[in-house]
Amino acid sequence: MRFTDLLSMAFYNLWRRKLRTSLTVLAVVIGATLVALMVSIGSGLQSFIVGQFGEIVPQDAVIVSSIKDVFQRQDNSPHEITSTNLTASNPFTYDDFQKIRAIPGVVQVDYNVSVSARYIQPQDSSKMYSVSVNAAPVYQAELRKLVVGTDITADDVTGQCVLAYDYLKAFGWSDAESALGKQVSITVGKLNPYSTATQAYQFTVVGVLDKTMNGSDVFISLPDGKEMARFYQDNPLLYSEQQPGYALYLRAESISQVDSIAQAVKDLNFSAITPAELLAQINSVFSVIQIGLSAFGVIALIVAAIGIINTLLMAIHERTREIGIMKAVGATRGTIRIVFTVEGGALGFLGGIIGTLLALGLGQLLNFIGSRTFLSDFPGFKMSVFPVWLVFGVTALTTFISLVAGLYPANNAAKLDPVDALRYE
Amino acid sequence: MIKLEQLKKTYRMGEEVIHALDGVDLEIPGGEFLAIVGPSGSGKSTLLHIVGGLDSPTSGKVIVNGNDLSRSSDKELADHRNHSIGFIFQSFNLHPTYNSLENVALPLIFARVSAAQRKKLAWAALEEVGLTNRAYHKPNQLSGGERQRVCIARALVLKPGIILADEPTGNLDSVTGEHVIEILSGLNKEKGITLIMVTHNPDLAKRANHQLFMADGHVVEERKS
Repeated sequence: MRFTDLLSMAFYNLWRRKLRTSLTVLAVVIGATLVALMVSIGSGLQSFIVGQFGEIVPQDAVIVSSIKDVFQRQDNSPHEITSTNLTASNPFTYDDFQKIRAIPGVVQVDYNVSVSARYIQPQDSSKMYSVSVNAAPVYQAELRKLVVGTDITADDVTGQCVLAYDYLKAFGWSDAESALGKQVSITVGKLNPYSTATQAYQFTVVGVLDKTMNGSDVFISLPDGKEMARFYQDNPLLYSEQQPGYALYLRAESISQVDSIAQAVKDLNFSAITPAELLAQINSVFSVIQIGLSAFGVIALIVAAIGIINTLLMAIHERTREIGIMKAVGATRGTIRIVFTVEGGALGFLGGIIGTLLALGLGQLLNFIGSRTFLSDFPGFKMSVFPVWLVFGVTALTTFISLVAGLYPANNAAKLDPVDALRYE
Repeated sequence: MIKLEQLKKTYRMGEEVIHALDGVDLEIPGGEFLAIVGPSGSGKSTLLHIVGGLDSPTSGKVIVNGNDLSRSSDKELADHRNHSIGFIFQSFNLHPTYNSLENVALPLIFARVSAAQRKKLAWAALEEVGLTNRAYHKPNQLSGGERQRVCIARALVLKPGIILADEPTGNLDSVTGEHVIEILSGLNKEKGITLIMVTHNPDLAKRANHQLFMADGHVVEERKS
C-alpha cells in the first residue's frame, strides 16, 4: 500500500466518525496545549534568568572559594570528608593568594568585598531606606544595563555610585536624569553588636540601573567597598593580600582560559566555578522546572492515549467486516496493522498541531496581558517563549504517543481471521 | 491448474472437533467451470476459502499455479488473493461507504497502483459488467443484481486467472441470478478464467462442465462433461 493511500484512508476513516474523532482529538489537544504552554512558560522564565545572568557575571570570570566543595550541591545524607581541617572554613592566606595570582592566564584578582550597610539616605532628607551595597570590579559592573548616566569607570575611583531604578520613586526623584549628580549617604555600623559607632559615606550618583534590574542595589567602587567593610569589621587589613577573605574573582586573559584556570584552582584544593558551570546549573534547575510544569500535560496525554486506544478498538469492532473485505482483496496482516496504527497516529498528529497552535495563541495572549500588567517593569521578560524545537517537538510527542497507543488495537485488527471477519454481523 | 491433495481442515468447537474437510483430492485444470454442490456444513465454502488463500488447511496440499498455499506466508497468501483470485460472495461484501468505483478500485490500492491508474482500471472493469452508470453510487443505492456486478468487476479488476464464487445468486431473484451467472460463465468461456462456484441450486450446477458433490467434508460424487 502506498503511503499517500495510507494517509488518505486514515483521514477518510476518521472523517466518517466526526464526533468521535473530534472528542478523541480534543483530549490530545488538552494534553498538547498544557505541555506546550507549560514548557514555553518555563523557557520564558529561563531565558529571562539566563539573560539577567549574562548581565551580572562576565564570561571571563572565575569565582574561587577557599571552602572546598562550596559550589557542589550537597544533600543531607552522610558524605565523606576528605580532610580534617575542612570542617572549619578557613579563609585564603597570603600564600594562597600568591599561588592563585600566579596561575597562568590570570590577569586580575579581586576580593569579593562584602559590605553590610545599615541604610541609605538621599541628600537633604533624613528618611532612611534599606540598601544592598555591591562593590564589584569594573569589568563586572559594566555588564549591567543603565537607563541613564555611566558606570564607575575605573577600579580606583571613589565616591561614585550607581543606583537601582526603584530608588528614584523611594527618594521622590522625578526621573532618572534628575538623579544624576545628586548625593546619597550610606551609613555603616559595626559587626560587634555592642558597638554603637556608625560612619556615613558620601556618594555622587553617576548612573541609574535599568528597570529590569529590580531591587535595592547600589554599586560602588572596590576601594570604597573595602573601606566600608574594614570599618564594619574593625579590621584594617581586611581584603588585602594578608587577608584576602573567603572568595576571590579571577579574571582570565581570554574566555578560552577560563576552564584551565578553574582546574588549576581546584588542583590547589580550592573550589572554583566558571560562568558556564553556573549557567549549566541554572539550566538544569530549569529543566527540572519544565518537566515539573509539563507533568500535568503528560498525564493528560496519557489519558488521551487511553482514549485513542478505546476509539480504535471501537472502530475495529465496527469495521470488522471491512477488515475482512480488505483482506479478501489482498491486504496483508501488516497492511491492516499499519492502517489502524496510522489512524491512531493521525489522531495524535491532529491533536498535537491544534494543541501547539492553541498554546502559541495563549502564550501570546499571556505575553500581551503580562506586558501591560504584572510584567510592565520588565520590558524584556516574556512569560511564554516558544523555541522552534517546542513547536515541532509537541506534535512529534503526541504523534509518537498515539502511534504507540495504536499498536495494540492495530495488532488486534491484524490478527482477525478473514473468514470470521467476513461473516461478522 | 489447481490441485488438492488429502486436504483436511478441522475446527474445534468447545469439546467437539469438526472435520470441515476430511481428505479431499481434486484436480481442476485451467479454464474449467467447476460447481461444488452440497448441503450446509458439507465443507464446500471451506474448500473455496482455502483455494482462495483466505483460510489455511490443517493438513494436505493446495497447489495453485505451482505454489503450495499450505506453505505460503501471510504476504504470499495476500498476494495470491490480490492477483490470482477474484472472490464473489453471496452477501456481496462491498465496502458500505465506498461507491462502486472505489469498491472496484480497492484491490488496486493493495497492489500499489497509482490513483490515476486505479480509476482507469476500475472504470474499465465496471464497463465490462455494464455498470458505469452506477459508478458513483454507494452499495445501499444499488439493487442486488447491481451489487453483485460490482463484486464481479472488483474480482476482475486485477485480471485474475481464477474466480471463486460462493453462492453468487443466493441473495438474488431468479432473473437477476440468471444474468449474473451469464456474466460469470461468459468470463469462463470467453476469457478462459477458471470459475469455481459453490451453490445449492442443482440447475445452476448443471451449467458447469465439472461438478463436485460434497457431504460431511468428503467428495461423494464427481461428474465431468
